[in-house]
Amino acid sequence: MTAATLRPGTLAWLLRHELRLAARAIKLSSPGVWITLLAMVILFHVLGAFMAIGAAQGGGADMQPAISAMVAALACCFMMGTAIYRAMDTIYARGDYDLLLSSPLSPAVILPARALAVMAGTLLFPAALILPIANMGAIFGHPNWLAAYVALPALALAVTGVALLVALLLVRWVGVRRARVVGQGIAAFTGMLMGLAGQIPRLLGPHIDWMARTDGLRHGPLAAFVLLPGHALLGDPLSLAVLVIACVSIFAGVTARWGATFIATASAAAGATTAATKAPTKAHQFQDRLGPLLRRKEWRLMRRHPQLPLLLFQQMSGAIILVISMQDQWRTDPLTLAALVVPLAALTAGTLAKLALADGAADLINAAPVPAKRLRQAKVEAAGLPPLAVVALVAALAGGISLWGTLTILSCGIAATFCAVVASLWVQPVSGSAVDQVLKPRKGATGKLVGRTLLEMMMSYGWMGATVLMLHHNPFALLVAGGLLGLVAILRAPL
Amino acid sequence: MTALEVRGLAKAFSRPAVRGLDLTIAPGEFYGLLGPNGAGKTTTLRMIVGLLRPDAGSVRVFGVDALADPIAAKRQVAWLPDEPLIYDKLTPLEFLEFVAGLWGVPAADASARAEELLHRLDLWDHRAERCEGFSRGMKQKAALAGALIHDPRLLILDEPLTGLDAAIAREVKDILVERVRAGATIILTTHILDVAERLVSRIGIIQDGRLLAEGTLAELRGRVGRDDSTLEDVFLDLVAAPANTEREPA
Repeated sequence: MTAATLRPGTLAWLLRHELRLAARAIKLSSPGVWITLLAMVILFHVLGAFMAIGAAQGGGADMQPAISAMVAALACCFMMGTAIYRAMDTIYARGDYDLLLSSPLSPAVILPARALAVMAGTLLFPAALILPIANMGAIFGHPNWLAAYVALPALALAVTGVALLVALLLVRWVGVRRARVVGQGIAAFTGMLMGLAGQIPRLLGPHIDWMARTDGLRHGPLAAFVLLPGHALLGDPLSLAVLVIACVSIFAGVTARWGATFIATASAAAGATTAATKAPTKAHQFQDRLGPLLRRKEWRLMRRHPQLPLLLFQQMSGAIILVISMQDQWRTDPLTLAALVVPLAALTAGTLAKLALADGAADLINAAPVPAKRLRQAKVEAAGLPPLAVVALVAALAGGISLWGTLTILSCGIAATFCAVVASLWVQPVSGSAVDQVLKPRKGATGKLVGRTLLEMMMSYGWMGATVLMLHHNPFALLVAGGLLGLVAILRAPL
Repeated sequence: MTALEVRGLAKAFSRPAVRGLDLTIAPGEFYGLLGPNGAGKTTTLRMIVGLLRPDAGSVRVFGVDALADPIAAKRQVAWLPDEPLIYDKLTPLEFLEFVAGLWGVPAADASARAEELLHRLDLWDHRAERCEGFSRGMKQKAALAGALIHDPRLLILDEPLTGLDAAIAREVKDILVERVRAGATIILTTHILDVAERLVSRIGIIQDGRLLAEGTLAELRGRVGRDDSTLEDVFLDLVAAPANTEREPA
């Protein structure tokens, strides 16, 4: 049955609608997107070839199920983070439940279709990384690795089912108002586990015999359960069948048992406010000095933005991974740890700038008798001042070790923050009808978003590199700093 | 001195939206700008308040050239579009503080006016709640309070009664009439022709970016030759006429 002949009202028909909306959000019809995807597929297959050769040779046949099980666990961690985030999004952001529920469509169809769309989005990235390895493994003599094409979607199904349940329980337990932020935090933390997992050997010490430590797990009574996903990924028919049955059962069980509740919760939460209703306790003091007034308004909006905790948590989690991986260095040189404030300040400033620059009532401020430059300046100040305050504090603490450290961290922190704000200004004009436009860009703007994020991260961690080099009196620091400032000058942000 | 003087105003997007529009509105006038959907009303108003740069023409607000000195012109104008311009994450008091600050109203005056407006618009009990939980009507009332807090000389309202219940719509209409009596000038667009008929002193009908007819209701009735007709009848007669009709004084 072709897409055009799908019977209206069926699960397949609604799923097609969901996937079409998702595809249009990332503009799959654009040739540029297809060329980029093709390039990524080729790149991942080249990388996959090296990994397939390495995985086939490393550790012997005995270790392959354990390695595959670890790959499956990491993929599940990542997928769980994405799925919880998407499930929360499904509850709060989609405003079409009224339309769907008022139609003669069966409610039993709505959640599975939406859940499958969540699953498809969840699967995308792990599939892009793992399936090329399976393809190349098949070419290099392991056709059974192609079982990943079945095992991975099955895992994604189970993960999606659990994520929907987590989202639903969060709304029940912590309330509609807080569930979104808590859910996003859990999503970010779960996603971060993947990054932290790579640091476990470092955390526990480099001299541990991992073969001996995992021997009990690989051969003990739980081995069949723990290694089941690994065996399934490697194409063991029985393991694959058990995995598929278990995962489909989890998904079907959650959607059947909790489907109606989920839809009712989502329908109720769609228009829910995230603000507490409280009686005014004291008279509101009006402020009439324009600069403080503008900054205060920006800070209020930033503080109350539902995405802010998640964005800051994501940046902190990146820093935590860096702290763990650099622990040998900062134990002997604590100023290196202090230098971490530089990229963190820059990334935070970039995040705050993004929140500030897309104004929810742009026409109001553009109709006000205040020059646009003054308004933009206030947004830049509001985005830059809080991170700079933290930089100043860390720089002051660094003064206990050396004055050079204080000066270096302060100057690099200011420069990095400036660069991050400028990078945000470059791609995001002041106008905009909704704050979410920045975080969920309009059709065709996804490429810009990716470019901006990469540029910001590159510049921010580039400044950390410059800071560390400068702390060690390495003249190469000037070259790095000059390059980063030159990059900003080339961007010619409309300051 | 006129409150608003527009000469030869033109703006084109993919097609011309406003074509050589002339308007003259006197101080203290309540002017209704009517027209079918897509006639160019909102584009015209957005050019007047400085949100769009015209391709040609001039705009003078109380004698100030709004294109040469937009800040001075904006100081005298308030703009209330059909979609309420507010920040969902601010409370009404915080929002009014911000708007008053933008227009340079001293804090003490702004605080007193905010309290008066919120009481008047029945939002005082909600002053500490964020606007995100408000109904559309409540948001529209908060936006109207924002438009009034700096006591503008020229108030430009695009469909201000959309989403308001009957009682609040009456309250808003009373407030607008009071403002006009106090000397303010109001330009209003609306598709509710009964409202225009009862409120405004002069009417401009715009179609395809051109002013089709202008005058008091009596003058417009005379133009279509139906002395006892409603504004709705007059409007429908006028917009049904050939689009290339030259503007004639009513």
